[in-house]
Amino acid sequence: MGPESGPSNAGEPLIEVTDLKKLFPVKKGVFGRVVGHVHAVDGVSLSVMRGETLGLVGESGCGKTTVGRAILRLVEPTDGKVVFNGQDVLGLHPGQLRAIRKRMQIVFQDPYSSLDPRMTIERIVGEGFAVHGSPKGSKDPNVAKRERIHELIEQVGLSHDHLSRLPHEFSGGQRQRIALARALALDPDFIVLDEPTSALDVSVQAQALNLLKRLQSKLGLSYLFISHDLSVVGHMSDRIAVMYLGKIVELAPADVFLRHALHPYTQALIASIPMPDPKMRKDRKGIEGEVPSPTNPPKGCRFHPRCPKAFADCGWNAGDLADWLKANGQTDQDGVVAKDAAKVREDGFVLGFWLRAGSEPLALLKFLREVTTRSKAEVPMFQAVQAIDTLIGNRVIELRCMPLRADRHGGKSKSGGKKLPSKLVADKVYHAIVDSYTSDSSHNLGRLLLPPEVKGSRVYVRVIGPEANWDTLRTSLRAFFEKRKAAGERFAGSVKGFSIRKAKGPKLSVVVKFKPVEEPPTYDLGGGHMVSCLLCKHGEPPAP
Amino acid sequence: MNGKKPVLEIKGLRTQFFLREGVVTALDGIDLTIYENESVGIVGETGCGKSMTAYSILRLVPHPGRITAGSIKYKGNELTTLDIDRMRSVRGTKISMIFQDASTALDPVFTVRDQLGEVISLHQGIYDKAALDKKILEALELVRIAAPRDVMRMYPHELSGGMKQRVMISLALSCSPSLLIADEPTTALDVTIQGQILKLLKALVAKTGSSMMLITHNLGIVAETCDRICVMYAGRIVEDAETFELFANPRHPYTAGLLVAFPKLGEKKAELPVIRGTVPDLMNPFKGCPFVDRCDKALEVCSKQRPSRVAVSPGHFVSCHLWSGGG
Ligand SMILES: Nc1ncnc2c1ncn2[C@@H]1O[C@H](COP(=O)(O)OP(=O)(O)OP(=O)(O)O)[C@@H](O)[C@H]1O
Ligand SMILES: Nc1ncnc2c1ncn2[C@@H]1O[C@H](COP(=O)(O)OP(=O)(O)OP(=O)(O)O)[C@@H](O)[C@H]1O
Ligand code: SF4
Ligand code: SF4
Ligand SMILES: [Mg+2]
Ligand SMILES: [Mg+2]
Repeated sequence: MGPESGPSNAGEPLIEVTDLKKLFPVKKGVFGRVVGHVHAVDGVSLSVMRGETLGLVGESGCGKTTVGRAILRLVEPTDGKVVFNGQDVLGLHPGQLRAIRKRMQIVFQDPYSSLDPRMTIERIVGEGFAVHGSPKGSKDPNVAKRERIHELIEQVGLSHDHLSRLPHEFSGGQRQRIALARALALDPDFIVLDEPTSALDVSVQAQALNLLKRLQSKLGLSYLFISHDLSVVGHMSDRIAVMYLGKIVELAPADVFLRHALHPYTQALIASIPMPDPKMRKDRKGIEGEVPSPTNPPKGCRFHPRCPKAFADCGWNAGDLADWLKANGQTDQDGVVAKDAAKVREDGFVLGFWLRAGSEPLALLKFLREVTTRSKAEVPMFQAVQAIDTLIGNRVIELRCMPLRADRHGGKSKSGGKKLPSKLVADKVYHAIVDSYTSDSSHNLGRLLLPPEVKGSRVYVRVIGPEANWDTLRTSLRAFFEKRKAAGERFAGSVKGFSIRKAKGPKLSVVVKFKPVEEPPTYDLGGGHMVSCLLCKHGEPPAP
Repeated sequence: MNGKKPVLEIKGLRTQFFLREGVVTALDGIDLTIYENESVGIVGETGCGKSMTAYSILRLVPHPGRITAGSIKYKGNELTTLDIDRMRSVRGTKISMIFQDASTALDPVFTVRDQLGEVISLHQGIYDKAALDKKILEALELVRIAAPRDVMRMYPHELSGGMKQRVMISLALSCSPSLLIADEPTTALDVTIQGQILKLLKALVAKTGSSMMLITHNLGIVAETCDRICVMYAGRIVEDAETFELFANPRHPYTAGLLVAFPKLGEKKAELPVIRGTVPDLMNPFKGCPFVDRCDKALEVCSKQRPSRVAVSPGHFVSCHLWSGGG
């Protein structure tokens, strides 16, 4: 493999992945407008040593397959770094990529769909030679190829007379062996095994797992072993990484992992495995709830809505409160909340209630305060509530958006030289304001605002708080757009108006504010044990 | 057992498929009794006949298959010869079933409310909208669905796998059946959701006093959920015993092999013990024991003569020459 290939010392990383990200666009409508992104992999770092098996576990949709595919560039990562044997994989051009792909292979879960039904086993196993050339040897390339295929098919425990048959003539376990023979054909160093035995029966699975281990020690292979089955991963791996919603939440050597797993999600996974031993029957302490959508993952720690140990600072936000009110039937109590629509601010940390006619804001305020005080001890979410306020008045600041003309001077400005209709300017304005809630503290817009509302070319910003604040806010908004304009964003210049108006429609009345939080950092507990969980900060005794 | 009344008694059940290439004997002489208040696990690998046992009980064996021998009695009444209308009323009221894939069992064009409402009004004679809605809410709360009011209005495609399975369970239990057949009810679900569903099933079966037949390929699930276990292989029940007994003293070489082939968390082994070979083709009739090609303990008689079912201890039955020879 040329000068890059270093000495193959064990204990040296063969693969190093840093902050890998992959977003998939979510499209809608006939024009395929992108309405959001699936954060399939959201900042994953891991390494695989030479001759090592790194296990990757997690529930369906958490991004395991995408990690495997992104390392091999079978999907293009959105961001991050993948280094294979000292070479930056993501920077390679197609020719170099092909050379490196010989050394990195993948075996898929489904032994039924991963093999071409019209190809004989011989052709399937020899597929790689067609792309990368026949195996080396002094002999006739066809003879060398044939010999290699025979060697491979024996290695995976099948026999020569299988070679002329078609995939449908084989059982699931045999097909998985064929897929493995194909992956081994080009002498790879690294194989991603994506749920290699999930489709197999227990007795056949044991055969396949043994084969994988034998081949590894014989050929010095490194594996990334992906599975949702923790028992299987535990059996196969030297180190284990647990994924939840696109992130690795815990990573540890296998023996540490089984005895000292710290992350509540890991513990829940372990507790959920049905043990094939009735004496170990346990009163299942599993976890409640389901995995949330990766399109809009929970704030703070992604596991916090399901976490039995969650603290006040684990990421509680307005969405959680809205869900809680719904799920706990509190909406019916006093009939107060039920009549009034709760609305979550875009950044997630403010919940506002729109009161219908006849509702009494003070009753709602009293109700929310009571629930909060009452539930604080048991429900950590309520400890994260920063303030519950009523709003006085019912006003909005109206921003009028003008269409943006094409730039006559060659369009060097950041927003480009295109013509932009007023509606699209309004969209931009909306997003600029929403983004500022979290990213721009100098204008303090996030202090008072609920989501702006866009109606055609107008954007309405809700004014909350005592009367005196309206003018301050108007000034802040003006300054905010001045600054954006000065920074070269042309759309900011076409925002006019800033007039305070009486709001139409239901009256905004009560807001509950939460303290914005960050994702938990990754704590290094020593001995290669990494955990992303605030238990470490709050003093849960870490593993000895 | 212990004076308990049987709910279901199956004797010598044989179900075969008549194909152009030959006859597939999917079930080859099943004997199985399920008592009141009991949960029985049926375990075995792909194709061993677990689902076919359930379909045979409900007389839902797909064409070109049919029951060719044996008897199935529900509380003393023969089901194999029951006329179709009477059979239809047995399904769903006396015996109901939960399938692995809930999306095939729920109708995609009707809301959860429509589907639960139909079953409840049919079986409980409630037609008043308010009263029906109340019953539907109760049924959804029973299976611990969060925000049941919202879920009522949803279509199956709007539900997650776990929620669909909860709705299925709710449907299956809404007519208080005496026997609930659950065919791989959690196989399509994530492990944390699987735990929730099994816990729920166990609690509801205990609460309603139904019996349960739980079909799965996962030994862990039956170990945790069932009172008694039947191990199937190639269309036969090769061993059955109470759960603790079976795991403590597996007598059939296949059962013993399965129990050790399963990787267990926390037990590091270089190699897993394996059962060599693969499951046999059911197209060829077996003269002797169907496990003979894979069995390390096979005797000469094993390929010639079918082993009969013998009791090795009270309530523990095995079909294997190792045990029938010694008596
Ligand atoms: N090509 C794609 N386009 C859009 N979304 C995708 C694509 N591939 C994966 N996703 C989404 O990315 C997320 C992660 O998917 P991935 O297949 O990596 O999960 P996984 O952990 O392998 O799950 P499983 O255990 O079910 O195989 C999922 O929400 C999935 O829907
Ligand atoms: N339509 C059919 N035609 C021919 N044979 C069939 C048909 N349906 C089922 N069989 C046979 O019946 C046998 C039993 O099938 P069954 O579905 O009961 O297996 P199972 O134990 O439920 O397996 P799984 O774990 O895969 O669900 C299988 O070996 C299969 O070959
Ligand atoms: S940071 Fe830890 S304790 Fe907090 S919610 Fe997440 S997993 Fe639970
Ligand atoms: S009957 Fe014979 S072949 Fe069959 S399981 Fe027993 S010993 Fe093995
Ligand atoms: Mg996957
Ligand atoms: Mg089945």
